[in-house]
Amino acid sequence: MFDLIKARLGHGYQAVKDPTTATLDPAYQGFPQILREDAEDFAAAAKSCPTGAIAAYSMDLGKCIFCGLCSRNFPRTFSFANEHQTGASSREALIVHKGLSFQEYRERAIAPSPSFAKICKYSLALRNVCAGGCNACELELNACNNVNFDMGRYGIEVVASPRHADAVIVTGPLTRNMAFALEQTYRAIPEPKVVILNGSCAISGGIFAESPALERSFLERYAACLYLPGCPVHPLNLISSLMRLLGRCK
Amino acid sequence: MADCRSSVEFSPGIPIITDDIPILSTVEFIEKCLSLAALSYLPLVYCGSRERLILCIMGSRDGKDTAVFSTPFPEGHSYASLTPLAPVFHIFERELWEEWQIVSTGHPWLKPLRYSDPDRHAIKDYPFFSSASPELHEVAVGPVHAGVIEPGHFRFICDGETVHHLEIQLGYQHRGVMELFLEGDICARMQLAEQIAGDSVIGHGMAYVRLIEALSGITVTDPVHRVRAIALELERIAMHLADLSALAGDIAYLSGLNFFAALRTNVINLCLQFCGSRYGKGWLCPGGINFGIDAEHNSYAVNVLRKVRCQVMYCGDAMFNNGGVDSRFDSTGIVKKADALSLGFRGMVARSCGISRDARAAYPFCPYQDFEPICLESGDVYDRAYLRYQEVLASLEMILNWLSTLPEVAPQCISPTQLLPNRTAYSIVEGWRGEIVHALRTDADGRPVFYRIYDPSFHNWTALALSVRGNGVSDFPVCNKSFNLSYCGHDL
Amino acid sequence: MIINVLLMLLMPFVFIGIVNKTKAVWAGRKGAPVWQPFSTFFKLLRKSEVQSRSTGFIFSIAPSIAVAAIFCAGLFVPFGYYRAILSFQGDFILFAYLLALAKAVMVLSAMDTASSFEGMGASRELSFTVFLEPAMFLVVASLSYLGGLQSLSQLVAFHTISIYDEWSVIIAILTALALFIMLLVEGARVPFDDPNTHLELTMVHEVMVLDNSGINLAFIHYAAALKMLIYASLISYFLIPWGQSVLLVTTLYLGIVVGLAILTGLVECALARFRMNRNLEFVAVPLSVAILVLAALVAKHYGGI
Repeated sequence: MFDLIKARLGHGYQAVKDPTTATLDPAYQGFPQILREDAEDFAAAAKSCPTGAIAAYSMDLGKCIFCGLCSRNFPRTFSFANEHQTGASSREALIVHKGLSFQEYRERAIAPSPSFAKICKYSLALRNVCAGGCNACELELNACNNVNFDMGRYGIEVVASPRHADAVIVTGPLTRNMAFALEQTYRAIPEPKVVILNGSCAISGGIFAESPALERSFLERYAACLYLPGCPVHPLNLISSLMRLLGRCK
Repeated sequence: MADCRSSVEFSPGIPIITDDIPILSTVEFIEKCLSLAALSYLPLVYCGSRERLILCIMGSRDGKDTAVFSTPFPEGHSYASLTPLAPVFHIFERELWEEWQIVSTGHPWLKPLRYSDPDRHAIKDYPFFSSASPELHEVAVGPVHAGVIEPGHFRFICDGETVHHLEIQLGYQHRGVMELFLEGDICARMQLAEQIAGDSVIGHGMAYVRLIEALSGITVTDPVHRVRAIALELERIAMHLADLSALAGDIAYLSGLNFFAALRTNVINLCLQFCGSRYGKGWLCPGGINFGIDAEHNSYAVNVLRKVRCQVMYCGDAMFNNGGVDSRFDSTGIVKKADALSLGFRGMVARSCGISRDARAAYPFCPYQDFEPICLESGDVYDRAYLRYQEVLASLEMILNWLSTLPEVAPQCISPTQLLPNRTAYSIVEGWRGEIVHALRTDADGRPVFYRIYDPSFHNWTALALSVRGNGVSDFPVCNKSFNLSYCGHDL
Repeated sequence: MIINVLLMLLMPFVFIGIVNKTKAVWAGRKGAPVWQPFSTFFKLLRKSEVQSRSTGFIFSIAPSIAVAAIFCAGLFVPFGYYRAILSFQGDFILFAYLLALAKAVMVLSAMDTASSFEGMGASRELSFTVFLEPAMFLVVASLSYLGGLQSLSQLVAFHTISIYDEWSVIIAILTALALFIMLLVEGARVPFDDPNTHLELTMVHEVMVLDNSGINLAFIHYAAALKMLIYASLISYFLIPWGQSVLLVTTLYLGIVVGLAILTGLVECALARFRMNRNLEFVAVPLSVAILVLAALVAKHYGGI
């Protein structure tokens, strides 16, 4: 009994005060910035990028796994800022060009969805389908529920059944062996419902994009309404992006 | 009887010339495998390669001796299965059958492992083992689970609340990782290695870098070894705390759930400070490390870890002395030592039922020279949870010792460019679940012929299936969580 | 009467909100706001429903019947100062069986889904009822042993707690204890069941509603919360001395209900969940306490020991 009390006292109060405005340790590699359009650097970086996220003078956040290889090898061309709120509501918004500051990106990346927000603004039930995820994104999604990030305070929770859910949050590159289960789960969610893609693997297949073991036609049938880049997606990114989608914060 | 001791010296991290591996006839091969298994040798690698050879690497339990040998397999080959006499080979033979269609005649349950080829086996059509008895009922769980967890299918045959049989179906996570390693430049596949299993980034990452360094002749300095070891132990602590938190959550011991989760956040935020990623992604690289530890980080880390150690002891004592927790964990999900020995379970599962094998002691490298594994006896959920608690404390102690003598280490990397040709090598790292084995063979141009990955989960899923027999079906989640095996590490 | 209905409509979700908030505070986090169950309820009202092809019609009508039955049972319970809306001699039998009807119809609906989990959950739920129903009847029958066959409201008034009568205090505490354990079981709380568990194989109550969606799910949430509030009201009634001023009784009532919510939250934090086969041993505890109540009443009847 006394050990429990000592543990409780030692634990204190560790909740992040406001996940929508919190900042991360400076070491965190978040939003990538293109500092200059150097043809040589871009060609070399495009060749060495493990997921092919670097194309002619642009970077695709949907493919980027934030490994930092380009910024280590070509620090004058690529740099990762300490900004974690990189969620976007369209695939096109994830392409970054030179001169795009994080503020500009953040302003236009997420367009709150009024019809969805009207119903789910104060109570959002997520259903997770892990379709080949390596477990990092799942651990971070679980972390969203812990005492530090506590997304339950906003009424966002992960539920046990698709019938209770409002959104399916997909992690992993969508393997062929999970295609049937993913489809059935999505169909079992009552309307109105949305698809949320959690992590670079879900958005583009990530580092597994070339593998023949994937089956991504689900995304051709059902459009996603929130894309969360990251490998894995930091809990603060997930929570703040969801809150912006629901229109509960700027 | 053929000489069981190996004729070729083969330690992890030291490549041998592929042609030096003795090629035996099928009969000799089977005999050698069985005799080594009888001496308690563990098969580390057992795979087919495109040269139509089955390669077998078996290591003694104390790590002192490793045997390596091959046998050819022509088209349509089959041989008398090793499994009835040495059950430890059961999973390797299933993998071999799936990849190369080599039939092990007499294998008690030859079924697909990963469902990698949809034309041959579809994961939807698998006929589960079932019983026609009207007293028994079947419960099917998965692949999508109620919580946030990787997919897998569990088919129970129950008599009321008691489980008589569990069949585990995996393969949903199959992404074709081993094939992806063969594409592009093998020395530049660090990011792929880190994503084999996202909770064992450092474990698999270290196995990969050690293998590549071995095959490119690069040696890294002692401080680099120490920083890597610190990363590995930090990952072990973080995941053990996550498991303790989840185990507490499964039995609704909410204090344990919340306090351990907060402790884990402290540890992985420390990792974030070191290398920019909570899971250690991008920390290691073949030839060195991308992020070092300077004096400021060192003292901050010591501070944080001391507080973590104190709090872990309070929380651990509170939890393991709690009667309710004890009544749920004690004697639940027992893994018998005889099963663990005959089926070759690795890592924590083995150590919790009395088999003292830890790759840090069996295959030591700097700075693990004097490592002593922790070993418990009963093999139930309590012991697996308590082992994690003890390993957390041991790892914290080790890291604090290393940090106290560590000089400032700057990031340093000697990038490998070319691998030695015609070599075979393997590496073993003790990840937090157990020993991770990677094996690589190069051809005449130094390009990879195969890249094999064996996560400890590969062997240990069978332990889960056996441990729930006779338990209540509602104890299954606690058992499952006490193992916390990797689905994607198995499915690759 | 209007106050009664208002309390029955609003308090259940506040009760659940307070339980969740207590758990959050113990864990050292902020947690969902106390009115979160209301947000979820209104959201669910606006969602559509999904039904699988293998379920029958019982599944669609069961939640409505359950809500109606529990609401009617609530009409027999006095809330605070205000008398029960309905009351007649022996109405506690109808009260008990209305609650049982709600449970029966939910169990049938769970089995109607043709899902093996829900069948398992249904059988576990019923196994608890086997012990709880006799306990409930034993408690109430013991109370009427002294007072004669009366309505629920009259029974509670008859056995009102009074500091001058030490037996009434003992009886009140024992009855409150038995009812509190019944509250934990019926409300699917730790240590008997974990309402937040995401493990299908361990669920008892939650698994029965895994297939419901939309309005039906909203009704089920409300019905479960109302059942807990009914038990909480009964407990508080046994602990409030009868015949005091409106203000005092109402304050005491609200205070005790809130206190019970906090106590439920704390019990959830302090205890781990029991193993399923041991659950039944503990579900038998209310029966033992009920026997103690009977013994205390007999002792009181014969003028004390």
